[in-house]
Amino acid sequence: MFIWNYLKGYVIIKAVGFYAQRFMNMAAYRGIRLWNVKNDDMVFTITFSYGDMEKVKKCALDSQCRIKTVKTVGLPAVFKRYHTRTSFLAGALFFVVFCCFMSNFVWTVKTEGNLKIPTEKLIEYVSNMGLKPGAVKTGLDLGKISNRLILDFDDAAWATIRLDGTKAIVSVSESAKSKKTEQGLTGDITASRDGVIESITSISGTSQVRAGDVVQKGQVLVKASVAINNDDGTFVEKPVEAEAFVRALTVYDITETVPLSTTENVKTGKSHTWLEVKIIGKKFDFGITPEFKSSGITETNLFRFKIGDWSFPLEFSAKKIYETKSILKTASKDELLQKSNSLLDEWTEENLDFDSYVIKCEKKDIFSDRGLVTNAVLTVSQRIDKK
Amino acid sequence: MADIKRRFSRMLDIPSEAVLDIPYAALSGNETITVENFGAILEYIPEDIKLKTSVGVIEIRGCSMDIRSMSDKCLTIDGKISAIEFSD
Repeated sequence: MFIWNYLKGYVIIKAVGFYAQRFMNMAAYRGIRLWNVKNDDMVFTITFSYGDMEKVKKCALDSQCRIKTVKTVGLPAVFKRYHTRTSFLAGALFFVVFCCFMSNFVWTVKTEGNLKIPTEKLIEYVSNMGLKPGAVKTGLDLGKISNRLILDFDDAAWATIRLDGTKAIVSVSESAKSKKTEQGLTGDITASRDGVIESITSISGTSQVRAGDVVQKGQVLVKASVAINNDDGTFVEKPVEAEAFVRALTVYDITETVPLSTTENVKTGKSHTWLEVKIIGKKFDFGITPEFKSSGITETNLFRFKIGDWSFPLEFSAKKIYETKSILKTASKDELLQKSNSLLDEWTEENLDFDSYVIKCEKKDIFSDRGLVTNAVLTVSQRIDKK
Repeated sequence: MADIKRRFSRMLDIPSEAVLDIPYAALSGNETITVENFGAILEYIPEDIKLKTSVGVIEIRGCSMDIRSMSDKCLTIDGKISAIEFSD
């Protein structure tokens, strides 16, 4: 009702005095709908439709009631206020046309229902198939994309893509078991590294090792079958999908070299700024000078039009390139050690899973004229089960 | 004439307010009252509203009463209604 009233427009007035009730009766009798009538010490606040303004004025005149307009609300009032401002109206019209035009494109791609398949992988896949922010909606064959997705992802039992306004939603139903298992191709769980078993929790399948056993890479830890006792006392091997958590202590021997001298790029002080506009995937550069194009450090300040999660396929990037020169820098002993430690940390982050932790680290640092060579032997507790 | 209309409405089981020009009031709890076929507002203060109808005056008493909507046939009052009284 509020939206309807806003579209039609309404006026709030104050009617004062004894004749206000006569005015209200006359207005109602003449077919004017009044609402939100309030009496505050004989000052009547009355709301009526914008189109009845002339009739109301006549009623007030006939009933000798004094009325005063408090507020005019709604679309007709806005149009009346701005009807002389042609530029503003042209801008508003442009905005409407622009919105209609932009609604023909996909603004965002979202996924739902995927637990095993990473979201980034799905989005990258559909992006390669043409479904990406900035794609024209009418040119997309969503059925074809979803069918290809089902074929290419083993864990996807069913997939559908729907467009909700400018948002494309990739909805995936994942199979409880992988397609390979459904086809009877079950796999054993093997060790991904050499190590000493710390613990083994077998969910399905038959354990082949126990805590304290030394295992080698590739060795079967859990067999993908279970022995079922028949009524006649014989055992039958039934294939199952092996599932287990196996933790083991493993050893890593790492050598990192930190050079004594390094070349660093230092800003000379010269810089150049230019604007890059990206419209529906196409780049337009304004004001670039070729002298810094091949070398230097570039900084980018990105501005993208967004409404909530929805972003227009229009980006502005203010780019700044700094001219640089290379200088040779010699590191101190402390700096070398610091760099070596950070390299080890980087290695740990890159090569170990989030549930792995280092139990012991034996480190040897050898300084020479060329820099620092660090040898570290890490004892790690980690999962080694692999299908 | 009114008597004939009343008999006619009873005979055909038609609501009398549809045939006769008599007021029809619907009360929702003690907060909203809708009166159809009213004639005019005789008095309106937040504690007392008097309506002229074909069967006399309907007086609605209460507190903080506002007129939610008003047209030539229908009037809706919001507020805390405590009494409704009919008089000539």
